[in-house]
Amino acid sequence: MDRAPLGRLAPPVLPGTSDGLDPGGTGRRPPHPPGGGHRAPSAVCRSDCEHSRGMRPRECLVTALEQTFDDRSVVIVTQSGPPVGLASAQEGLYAMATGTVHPSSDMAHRPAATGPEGTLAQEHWEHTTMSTTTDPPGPAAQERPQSAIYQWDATALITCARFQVEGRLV
Amino acid sequence: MDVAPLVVTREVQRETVDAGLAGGYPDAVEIQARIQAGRIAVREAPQLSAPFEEVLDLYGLQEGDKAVTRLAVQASDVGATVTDDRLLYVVLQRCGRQACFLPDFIERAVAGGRLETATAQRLLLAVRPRLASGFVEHSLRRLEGVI
Repeated sequence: MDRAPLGRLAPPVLPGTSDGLDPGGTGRRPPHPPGGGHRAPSAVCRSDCEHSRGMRPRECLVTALEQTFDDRSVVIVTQSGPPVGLASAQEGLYAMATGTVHPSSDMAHRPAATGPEGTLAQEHWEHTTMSTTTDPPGPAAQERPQSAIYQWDATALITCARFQVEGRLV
Repeated sequence: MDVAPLVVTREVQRETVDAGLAGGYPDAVEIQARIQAGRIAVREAPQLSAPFEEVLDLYGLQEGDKAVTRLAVQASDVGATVTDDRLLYVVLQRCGRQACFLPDFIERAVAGGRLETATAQRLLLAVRPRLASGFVEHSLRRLEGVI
């Protein structure tokens, strides 16, 4: 579907049609084909994950964290102690990379289950002791502070800008 | 686009505004006006280390998406990157950065009272051609409150 030039009302986007982001060879990125070219990310690492098929525990944890939305809570515990606390997957990745709790984490202010305060022994991370606390809530339940700065990629920006323009014209 | 402070890379500006104006797209005018009014910030995204850049090449990311990844990695004040590109979404997640899938961002805007449900539903339908089946329907069902 060609987009209207300046000053003309562009036809609305209909479901199931191409949005024609590069109809004239302008160098703008064309739309993804219906069905997409990439696999969608898995929602969460569960009991049937790769860990049970030979992946080492730490790899499995990293996979789980990567596949989990950053703003979902996970339980981080050590092998020999009770749960250290709740952390975001982002904090979990930080801990994996550094071996320590991120200073801004709520966990940093709690006594550690084992070892020095705030220290998470990487080798003690166990797949079986890391789990999501709840089923995945929708993003509506994960509302972020309004002060957060959002970076937008080109196609998302174009899509929303065009929608805004067309809405205004209509 | 008005629901939260917004930043784009210089490359995204070129792709959306410069190329868009050359093609006569009205959305390019809209974006340019917001940039000129300071409602959209534009930032440079310096190159990452050589190994990191090599990885971005191997992913097959387009130049604009590479720049998006660079800014996400380097800018500490960027809370999340809004994208409708699934490869970029995964790459950002693998870089330990917040990525917000566009349908999810729309849902959040509704939940935050910054976008009406009816408008969000129409916007989701406008996004649907870009996404595989299921993504938009998932958001629509959630907005309807049936799941």
